[in-house]
Amino acid sequence: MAMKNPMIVMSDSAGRAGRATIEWLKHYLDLSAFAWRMIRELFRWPREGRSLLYRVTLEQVYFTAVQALRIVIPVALILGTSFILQFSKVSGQIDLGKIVVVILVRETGPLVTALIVILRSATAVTIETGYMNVLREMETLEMGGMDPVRLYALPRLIGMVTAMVCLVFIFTTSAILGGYAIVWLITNVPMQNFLLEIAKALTPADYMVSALKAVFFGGVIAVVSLYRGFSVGRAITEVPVATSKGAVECLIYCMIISGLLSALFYM
Amino acid sequence: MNSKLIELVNYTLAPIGRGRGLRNFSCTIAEGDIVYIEGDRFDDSHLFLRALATLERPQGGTYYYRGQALDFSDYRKLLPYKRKIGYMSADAALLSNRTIGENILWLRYYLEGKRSLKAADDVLHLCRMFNIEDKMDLRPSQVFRDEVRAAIIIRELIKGAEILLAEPVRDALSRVHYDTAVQLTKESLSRKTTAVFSYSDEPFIREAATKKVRIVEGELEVVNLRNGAVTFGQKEDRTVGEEDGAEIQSN
Repeated sequence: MAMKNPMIVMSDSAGRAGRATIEWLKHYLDLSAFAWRMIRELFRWPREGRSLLYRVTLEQVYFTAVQALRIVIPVALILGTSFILQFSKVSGQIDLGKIVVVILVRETGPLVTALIVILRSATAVTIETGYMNVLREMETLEMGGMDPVRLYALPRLIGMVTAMVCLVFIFTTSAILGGYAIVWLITNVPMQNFLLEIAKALTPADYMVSALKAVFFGGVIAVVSLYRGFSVGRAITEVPVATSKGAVECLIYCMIISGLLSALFYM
Repeated sequence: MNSKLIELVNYTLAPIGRGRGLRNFSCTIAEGDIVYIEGDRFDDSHLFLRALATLERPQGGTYYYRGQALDFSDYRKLLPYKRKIGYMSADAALLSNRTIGENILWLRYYLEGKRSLKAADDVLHLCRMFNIEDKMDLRPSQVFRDEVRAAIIIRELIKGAEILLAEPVRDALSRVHYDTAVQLTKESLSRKTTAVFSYSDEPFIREAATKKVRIVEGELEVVNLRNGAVTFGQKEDRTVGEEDGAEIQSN
């Protein structure tokens, strides 16, 4: 078999690396431009179409928050019970409150909630948007003189951020109170001062970080899943690809944001 | 003299599907014009209809709507014009996550700012004509294909559009619905509505037509059926001879 000229191999590799870099840059610039467009849309509030916008936003809150409760609450109870049970064995009662706050309120609560929202809603939004693009339903909105970014994407952004904040609060509360109740009911682990310890361990920064994470997670999940959906061209086979790429991208961004915010507040 | 509604000047469009695209043509549609398109490829005729609906960004040329040059660099600037165009093409769709009723009334929801709307009498009358008034709370995937087409026709008719762009729907509509669509089209034409029909072999459209657009191998020519003037691409109008005129009329 003939050997390839090393210069050609090198230039092929350089070309591939260059193309990948350009593709990567293009993706991030497009995504940033789309996010910027959505942020600007948030502050543009024309009268026309406002009631429809409220309606679609409420629907999104219902789909993302209310319908997710039957998953979020059981997951919170399972995680809360496991954590409280495990940490009560390894730590003294003194540290239990602090450990639970660190693990559940600051880190796991927002991240697990984000994971549930990605699995349930981000994938649904990408699929719905992708199909609407393929089936020319976005053009239908345009032919009615309606801007799809304002009428379709913006309510999803607002709805998902609102839903995320509510879900993080519900997840954390269910995990701590529900976990405590379950451990107290089914085990002999001494839990006398548990809630008092939690209350002492919680600082304003914990509420702030938790809320900020929820807002950023909701925003990032909405923007990425919508962007991926809008990127679908005319082939229906592009929809599953966009959905899986979008879900992975959402998860990675949420983890990066979580790390950055924790570092910012607690370092 | 009728005022110009749409004017495409030196327009060039990239091909879609298996078409050839449209090269450097000029075309004017005046108020009250009834135009039908004849072509060698469906994709090119469809492309022309999409171009009129401002759904295709041109490679070159200028689109004038009532004398106003349109800016295709930002789709938002086209939205007010799109609202004035009734688009009943083969690729027109309903929103699949909304009911038939919401789809029909969606623009009214948007413009009138009400959270819930009842169908007005004119809408109910149209729904009864197409026999879909009892399916208003179903989603498009829950009704037959021809009922979806009927809902699209109703939606575009109540839009108050200045021009209707339509493609043949005979295959997509049952006999009863097709007859209703024909009746509504005739009513629209009798009100001097500007309309462009693609691939229509309905005699009443050919009789009412004021212009014919002929597309062959990506070249577009406009034949004025009232005075026999022909515009080839961007060349000046010329008057066709008796023989040509007779040939055109017989189409």
